Amino acid sequence: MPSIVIELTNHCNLSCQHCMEGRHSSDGQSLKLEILDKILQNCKEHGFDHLSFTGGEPTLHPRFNEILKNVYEAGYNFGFVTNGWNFVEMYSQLLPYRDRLRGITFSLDSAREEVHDRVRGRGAYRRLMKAFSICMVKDIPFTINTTVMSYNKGELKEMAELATKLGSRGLRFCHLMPTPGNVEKGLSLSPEECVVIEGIIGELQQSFPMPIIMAPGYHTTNLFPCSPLQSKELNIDWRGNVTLCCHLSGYGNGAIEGDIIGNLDTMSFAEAQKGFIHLNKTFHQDKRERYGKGEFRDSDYFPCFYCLNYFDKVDWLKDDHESPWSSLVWKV
Amino acid sequence: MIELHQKVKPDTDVVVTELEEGKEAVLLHLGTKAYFTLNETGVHIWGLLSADLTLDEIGTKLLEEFDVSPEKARESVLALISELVREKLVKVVDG
Repeated sequence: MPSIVIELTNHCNLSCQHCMEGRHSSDGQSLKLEILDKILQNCKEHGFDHLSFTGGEPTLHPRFNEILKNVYEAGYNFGFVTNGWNFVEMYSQLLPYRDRLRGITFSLDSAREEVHDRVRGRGAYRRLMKAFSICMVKDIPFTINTTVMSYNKGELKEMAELATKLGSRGLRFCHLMPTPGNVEKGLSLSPEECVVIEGIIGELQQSFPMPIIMAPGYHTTNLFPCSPLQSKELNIDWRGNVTLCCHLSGYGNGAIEGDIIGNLDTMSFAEAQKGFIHLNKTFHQDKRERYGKGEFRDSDYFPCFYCLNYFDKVDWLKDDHESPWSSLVWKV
Repeated sequence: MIELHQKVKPDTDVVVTELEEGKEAVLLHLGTKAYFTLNETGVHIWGLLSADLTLDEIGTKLLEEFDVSPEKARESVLALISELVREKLVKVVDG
């Protein structure tokens, strides 16, 4: 199902320990509705029929209710990622559009209240539990997303058990990409630890009936394992920038923008998609060439880290000799 | 077995979520991870649990809000509280 990931706002009400510095803020800005209208009017004819809203905290877009209505009336299926903090107050907005709501992804970073609250702020865990309670009673489909970091790496099975008991329709683990902040806090895992984690998740996939997946970014010999690189997912940030991937968008301080194709304020959707396909084609050629020349190192099989290197976004890591990722930054 | 002269209080591991302006609520026990739904009467009874009342007194309070007989009110309180005790959603305070 080709989909568009739309960062509705960079406004966020939480200040999570592992979040990218500077990417989100408490006085953030939001996507203009004119840009969303452009997307709604055009993306279906280009094969996209599903919209995924992210942020920041997407439900904090000042016109979120209007967005839901517009998306619904335009005939798109949709879903969104949320920290669940204000779900009690906002869930009723969703109910009129539930038949096109394919699922809500809640960010839960630990099976343990004290750990989740340590990462996201006091009270965050219980607020999320209220959100799950509402979803169960109102029959709103939801899944759980867990970013694996040093705080929670030992509780993957516990997370799977919790998600099962809570009635989640799935559990997605994702790696934490190293950033200056999370490296300094000791949150990010080494490449070796990531591979071990992936092995444990693989075992959980075999032993739990609930779907458990590892988000793209895991160690793989598939050179193009994710939806953006397969041209099945287009990403648009809160400024209206069309970018290759939501993981790259705003990474670091956002100053290096090789992954940005253009802005929907000044370009048509057709032009944006053409640029997206062109960037993807160039990326594919370059990656195949690098692979063909035998220049791949083991760390290049982590596709997200490969992309960070490709788009020059991890230069800062070169000087951080204590980080296990430091030596894996490409020497240009 | 719980009796009318006893008092109970919500377990601190229970997360309560009220819906539909108090006409419905969901209890989620953080230990067992089990959901439990309360109807409007149940929500009212739950609200009275923190008022330090015996179950008998809670039954009397119900009469002020709902058009039921005293016997039916006490029966409803006992039935619900027994279930809440069984599900570890409340703790018996005394007796």
